[in-house]
This record gives sequence, C-alpha cells and structure tokens, in this order.
Amino acid sequence: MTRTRVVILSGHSLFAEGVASRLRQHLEQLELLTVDSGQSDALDRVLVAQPAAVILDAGDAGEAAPHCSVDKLLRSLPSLKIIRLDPQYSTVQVVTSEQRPAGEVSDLIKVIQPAG
Amino acid sequence: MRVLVADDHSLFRDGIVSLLEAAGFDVVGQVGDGQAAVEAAHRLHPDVVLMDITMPGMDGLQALQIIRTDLPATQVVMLTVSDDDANLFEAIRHGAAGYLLKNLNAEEFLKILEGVEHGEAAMTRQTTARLLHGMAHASQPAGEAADPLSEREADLLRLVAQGLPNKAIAQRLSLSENTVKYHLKNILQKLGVQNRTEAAAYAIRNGLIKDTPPTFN
Repeated sequence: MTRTRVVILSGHSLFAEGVASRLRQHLEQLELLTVDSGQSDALDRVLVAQPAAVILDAGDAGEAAPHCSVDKLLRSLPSLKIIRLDPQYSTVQVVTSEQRPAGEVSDLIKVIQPAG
Repeated sequence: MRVLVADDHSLFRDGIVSLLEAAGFDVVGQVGDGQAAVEAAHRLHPDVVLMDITMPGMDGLQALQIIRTDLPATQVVMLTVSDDDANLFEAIRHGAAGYLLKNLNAEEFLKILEGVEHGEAAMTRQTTARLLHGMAHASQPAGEAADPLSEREADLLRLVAQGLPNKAIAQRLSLSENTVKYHLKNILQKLGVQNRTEAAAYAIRNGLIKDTPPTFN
C-alpha cells in the first residue's frame, strides 16, 4: 500500500501531540514527520518533505508560527491540504488552495463565476 | 497511575489517551459525557479522572461533585478549553485536584499529571496566579482555624499556594521531602481539606495567610 506523507506541524500542544501519537498507530497508511512550528527552518523542512497534508493545531498556527504560516505554506505548496485542529470544536478545518492567472478583471470574474 | 478520560471531543480524547498510554499511564477507560464518567468512576475506581467541563447531558462540574463525594480517593483534574474564572473557582471549590487548559504543552501536561500521584496540584503557575488573585479578592471574612497552623506549617502552606512542588518546598525550607509530606498531611487535617489546592484556597479565603504573588520562570 502506498503511504501518504503527512507533516504534523506542532508547537507541542496537547492536541497536536495527541493526534500525532494516535496517527503513529497507522504507519501502514501514513508516513509521518513532525516539524516544530516554532523553528525558523520549519517552512524549509515542510517543503523538503513535500507532504500531501499538513496537520496543525489552530493554537500553534498564526502568530505562534511566524516562520511557517498557512499562507506561506499554500504559496509554496499550492496543492497542499492543510488540516487545522481546534480543541474547541469537534470538527477539523480543511484548507486547500487553487492558483489561477488573473491579469485582468475579466479573469477575476471568470474565477468568481466559472462558465458552465 | 490509573486514569479515566472524560471528554465529548472524541478526536481530542483519542489523542490524549494515546499520549497517556505512550507515556506509561494506565488508561482504564474513556467516556464522552459526565453521567458516563460517574458510572465509569464507580466501576473502575481510577486514581485520576481527566474531566472536560462542557459535555452533553451532565457536565464535568456536576460529575466532579458526585465523584468527589462518592469516591474521595479518586482525584479529578479538569481538562478544558474554558479559561473562565467562574469555572475554575467552581471546580476547585468542589474538590478538583487541578485545572488544566487544552492548549497546554504536551510535555508539561504529562509532567503535571505525574505530580498528582504525589499529591501535587495539577495546575500551571498562570492558573495558580488566577486562583490566588480571585481568592484574595473574594469578600470573605477573616477566618479562624479550629487548630491553628504552626509557624512552620504556615511557611509551608505559603509555598504550596505559590504552586511549588514538594521537592522545591523542601529545598526552600531546608527540609527533607518526607518532612514536607508530613507537614502537608497535618495541614490538610487541620484545615479539613482534601488536597493542596483546596488547602491553598482555604488558607487565602480565610485569611490564614496573606496573598503571596506567585513566582514565574
């Protein structure tokens, strides 16, 4: 079975570390790498790993991870799936992106209102 | 240490259980609401219940009261996203052995939980500071202890209220850890409380010691 590469981008929060621990029980399906979101080379390490998905705790993202924000991740890896955990909610937030050329307003409108 | 985990957030609960087991804790059960927590506690007699507050049906604070009444040997540590002072004070008033937030660092969480086995309060220094501040400002009359604390016991209680573990207290007072435990046992008996968190809260509330600013690292 092909294993899907996943990065746990963790600031060592309880939720992220707990999920990482739980996912390690599924290494036949997943190839896991943990990256410390607080490290200055966090983004580089994610880019080198080229994961299909990054899992992070909402509390470990944003200002807590200035070197590896969701925005920076998606700009560098547009096809990346980012999964945000939040202990306040029993749902996860899945963030994906799409990049399109938009040189003119008409391009933008096509993005807003795709034909068909 | 035998642990029961009560949380309706199943993904979070699953992760915590995995983390606890990997760290060597014996997780004897996991449930998703307060009523199930009470039933499981009666059946399994865990050393510690990790209890969420907001859960469907019976919430964690109600379950805490029942467990502390029925099973005094079982410690209950609240593990919640709520940093609401009202919940914190209510939990401590009803005998919680600690109050931890879910955004806590995993390593710190495990270390704090290990301390519960040795009678330490499961609380970060920040939460201890909030507790002390709240208790100090509560409008309570100056109390009178039936059996007053000795000077040594009062010194020790002051350090307990600052959130120091036994080892640090022993170093600070030039005592052995066993002597600290002995004094602490006497303090709990004199104050009629179950654990060190309750002792600190009781002492401040009743004016047995003055509010002492906590120390931060």
